Amino acid sequence: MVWRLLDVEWPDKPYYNMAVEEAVARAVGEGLSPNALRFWRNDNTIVIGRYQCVSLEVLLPNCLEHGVKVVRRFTGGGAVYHDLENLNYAISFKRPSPIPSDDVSLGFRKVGEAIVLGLGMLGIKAEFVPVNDVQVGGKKISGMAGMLAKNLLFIHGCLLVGSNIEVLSKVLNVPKEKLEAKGAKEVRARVTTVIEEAKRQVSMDEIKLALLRGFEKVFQENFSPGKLTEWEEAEAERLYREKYTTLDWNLGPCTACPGRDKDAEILNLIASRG
Amino acid sequence: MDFYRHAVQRSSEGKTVRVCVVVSNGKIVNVIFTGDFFAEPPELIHKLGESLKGLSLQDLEEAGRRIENFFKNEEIWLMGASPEDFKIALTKVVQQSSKTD
Repeated sequence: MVWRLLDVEWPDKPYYNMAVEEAVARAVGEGLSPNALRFWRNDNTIVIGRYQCVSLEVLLPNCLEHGVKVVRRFTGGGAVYHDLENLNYAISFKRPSPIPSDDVSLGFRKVGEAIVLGLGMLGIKAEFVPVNDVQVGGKKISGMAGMLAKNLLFIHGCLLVGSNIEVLSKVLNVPKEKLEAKGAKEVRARVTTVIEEAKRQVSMDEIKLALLRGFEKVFQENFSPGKLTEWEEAEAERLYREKYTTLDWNLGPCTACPGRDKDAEILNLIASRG
Repeated sequence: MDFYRHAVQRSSEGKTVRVCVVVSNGKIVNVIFTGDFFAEPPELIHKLGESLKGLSLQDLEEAGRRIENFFKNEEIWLMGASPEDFKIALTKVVQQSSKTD
């Protein structure tokens, strides 16, 4: 089966965007759809990792103040800030995948290589840094997350194109242990963007094309532009309704946190605005 | 008396394991491990916390043994952190408690 290229996004509906992300992955895992590469964006949204405590990782009152939405994704990894100047990529492989042993860390490496190649075509010298980062001169430009299920290997990530790093540092509560270990005191000191590194305006279409070429080269596959199948649309609707718009899902696992009730209220307020 | 403690452990792979613990009358009544590690299936991370409920907060030896056994016995895929990181995070909570109690 030819691999699919999906350029489908709902930037103002981050809960639906995430539902589509999971629906496509499920369809590929079930063998209902071919392997797929998706490009998409969210506007002004924090996407929190599957296992993270929203109260500890996100400065929720600041999200409310800046109109930032918060949605939990289905993969592990850390919280990220998305805006329209941030391009997400996601690749779903039916197992057995082209990644040796279906190993997620090798998956990060291979997808990282594709991103590095793509950035190289834009004149940016980047490198993959384990576990799941792509960096330029020691600064993170892209981070990845992934998961392994019975029939599915899934990797997705976001590329900072010209993202509003000022907002990012106001809404994410990065642990001081992490910043100290990375040798930087503030979020903005350890991340960079495509526009900053290319030193010119680069259009989203140009970036998507460069990344696509990177994926084609690394995986030795051609991608055919496609759209969501009826099954994927129905599954996305279900996941949107039953999972991604629910307080239980977005508030997450940390029932021990003392501020949980207050944070639930804030999350409800945030959701009601979008 | 009830109290809440939270600690962070940074793994050698650069990920964080956080633990939030609620203690009542010296016994652990709620433990939740969170962080930016990767794991499948998700419900097992919750089950790990459940396996520590009822222990005395000071009984680190038994808590460590339960964490070790948990990862040994369950079919869990973990990346970015090790079982040891979960143990250390819990140890940090206990150390924090001894300093402040």
